Amino acid sequence: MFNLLVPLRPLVILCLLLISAWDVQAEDHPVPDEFVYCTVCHGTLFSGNVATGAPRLLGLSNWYIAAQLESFSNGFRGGHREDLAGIEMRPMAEMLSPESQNEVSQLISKLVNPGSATLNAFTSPIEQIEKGRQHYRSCSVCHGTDGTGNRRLGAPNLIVQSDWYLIQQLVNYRQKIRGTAPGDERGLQMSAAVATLNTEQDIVDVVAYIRSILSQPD
Amino acid sequence: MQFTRRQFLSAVGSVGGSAAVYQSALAIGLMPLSLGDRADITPIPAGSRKVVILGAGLAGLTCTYELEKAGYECIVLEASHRIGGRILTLRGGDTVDEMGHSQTCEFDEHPDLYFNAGPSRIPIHHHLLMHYLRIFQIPLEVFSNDNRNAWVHDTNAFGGKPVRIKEYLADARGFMAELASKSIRREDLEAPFSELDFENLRGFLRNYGDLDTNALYKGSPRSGYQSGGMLSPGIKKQPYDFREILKSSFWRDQMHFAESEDQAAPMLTATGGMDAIVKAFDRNIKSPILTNAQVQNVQLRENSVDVSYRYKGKVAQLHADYCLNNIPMRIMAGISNNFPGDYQQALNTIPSNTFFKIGMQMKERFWEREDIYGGISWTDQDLQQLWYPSHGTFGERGILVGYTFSSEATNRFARLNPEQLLEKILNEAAVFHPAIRGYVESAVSVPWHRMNHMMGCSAKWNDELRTRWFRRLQQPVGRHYMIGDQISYHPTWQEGALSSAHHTLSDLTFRNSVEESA
Repeated sequence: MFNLLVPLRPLVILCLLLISAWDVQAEDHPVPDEFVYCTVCHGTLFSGNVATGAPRLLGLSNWYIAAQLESFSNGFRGGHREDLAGIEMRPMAEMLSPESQNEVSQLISKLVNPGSATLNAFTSPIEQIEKGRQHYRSCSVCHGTDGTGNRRLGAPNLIVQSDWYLIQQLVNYRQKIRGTAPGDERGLQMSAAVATLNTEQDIVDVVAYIRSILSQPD
Repeated sequence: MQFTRRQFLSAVGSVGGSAAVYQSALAIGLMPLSLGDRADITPIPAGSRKVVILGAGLAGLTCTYELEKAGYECIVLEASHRIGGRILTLRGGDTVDEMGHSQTCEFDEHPDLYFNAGPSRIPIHHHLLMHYLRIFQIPLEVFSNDNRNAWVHDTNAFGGKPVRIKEYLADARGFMAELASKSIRREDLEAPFSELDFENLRGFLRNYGDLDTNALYKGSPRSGYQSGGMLSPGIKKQPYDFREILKSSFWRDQMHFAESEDQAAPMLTATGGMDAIVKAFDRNIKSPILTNAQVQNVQLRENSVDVSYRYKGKVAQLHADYCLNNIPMRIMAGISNNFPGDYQQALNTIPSNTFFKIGMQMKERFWEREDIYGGISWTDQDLQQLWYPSHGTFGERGILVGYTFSSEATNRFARLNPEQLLEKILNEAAVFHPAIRGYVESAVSVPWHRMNHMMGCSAKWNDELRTRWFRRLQQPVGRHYMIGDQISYHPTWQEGALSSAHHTLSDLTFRNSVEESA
């Protein structure tokens, strides 16, 4: 009897979507099929996933996402042998035509945070934030005092990003894993800028401050 | 006055409700499930409970099969285009959904030309797996896991030349036995070690190492003869220099590989490919299994779970009494949910292995001309293992498999596309078979940490992580259970997935029955 039922499975599924005991209700999904791929690592709402090493994209500007995709396709990013997550990302960016890169950047920048995709709670001690604030002064020149970034300088919004990713990227810049490819002007600028952060503790402190900007009331 | 357990639980229920009953039941330990035990599943009125199963890996399929038999209404949501999870057998025409490098398997169509990119060998003491193979009557055959005619190669020993494993073993044992024999003196052995015991010990060493009458190792036919041995006297091979054996890394691990817990020299495998078990579950499951259905959100409710998923461009919602979650933890970490913070942290934290396999179709079975039929050649290069097929002997073609467990190696592979990877593997395999390149017709590689919807192989637990997180993840949160080999002490093994499935089935169905009776 089971064997007879197998060819009927597509029919069963169809019925299920229409009138089943499961009471399925369907509505449109904001991400088109060709970009569902990205959500496997970046999370279903592009809210990032520390377990796959994929950063949060929700809240980033269209121009910044597009610039990073371009950096991955031309080898500015994902070229260093120690940047394993970057190496994983590179062929993904290469798969996308410049038009698709723009399309997905537009799409992500327009996604509305439904509220359930929050960043992890902010818990750093006040003294650490104060140290971070001192370090952040030089960052604020490009990233803005409120941390929301500056398009003309190519500086991304920091306050929408997860702490683990900010720390990892600052470490990567410090260790010359990122921002050393010839021709990567923005990366080289940032590489020079992280010289103001002398230790990994400085990095952790400055990220604590960046996260505190987010938790300040408007 | 004495309470039975059931009376006790009933009393708890009257005061604290069904949730209290279940918690109390957990506390008094009503559900011990021993190694290899199957869950005792109480049937319920058909369709009276709904279960949504996330992921059609082995644990998900097992739970679905068992629960629907007991009357539960089940539905399976699978993100990939196929079911079976890491049980993946590749044949000509199959798609390999590697992120960024989608490949098509171009093997010829022939029953012997397949490649088990996931599990390949069955330990006979994995009783749950053997149970399902038995009830589904899946044809099995012997899998040769240890072939002493295969090669061992070490860059830093034997001048970088491969030696037959049997030569290595015979010489290593001969030298060790001779050394032990020379060092043991009768007067050092105290009572109750008798004269007879001492003679037996010397005899043991002589036979262990194939020593001569003077307890010296002068080579052994165990290495195979240099010449003769059939119609003329056999001439023994010259033993290798023992220091070369010590220099090699083979003795650290690989020499004893077939003796490790889940390994053996002969094992079993499913005839025609390990996905036979997936096909058998598929034939025997009536519940809908939706492929290309990616879970978007899991919300725990007071006595239920809501799951939304993407299917055919739409988002649909399901409301279920229970949710069994077979999604890899690292992927689940990125799916929206309302799990407690520490549970989410656990999902974020457990890393995964990055095992890599490559299957290569060879136009001739050239290894058979080197007296190799099945088994594994080992190297200290990134390739690590070269597997020869145990089936299809004397056939025209065959599939050779390269396999590495090493994350250092897979990190080095990370920058390579499939063509570059094949190139690297062939260069390394040439230490065993210098002409191998001329025989390759097609190849397909499976780096598990780059496979779509996987992004990793098995969960990589260590003692510290287990102490901190294992129990937390093994227990349900609300009516949601994480399942799979990832929630077992046997990650990577199918038995781990089945054990986790039966643990969960036992918990869920018991919980359901105490709640009903309360």
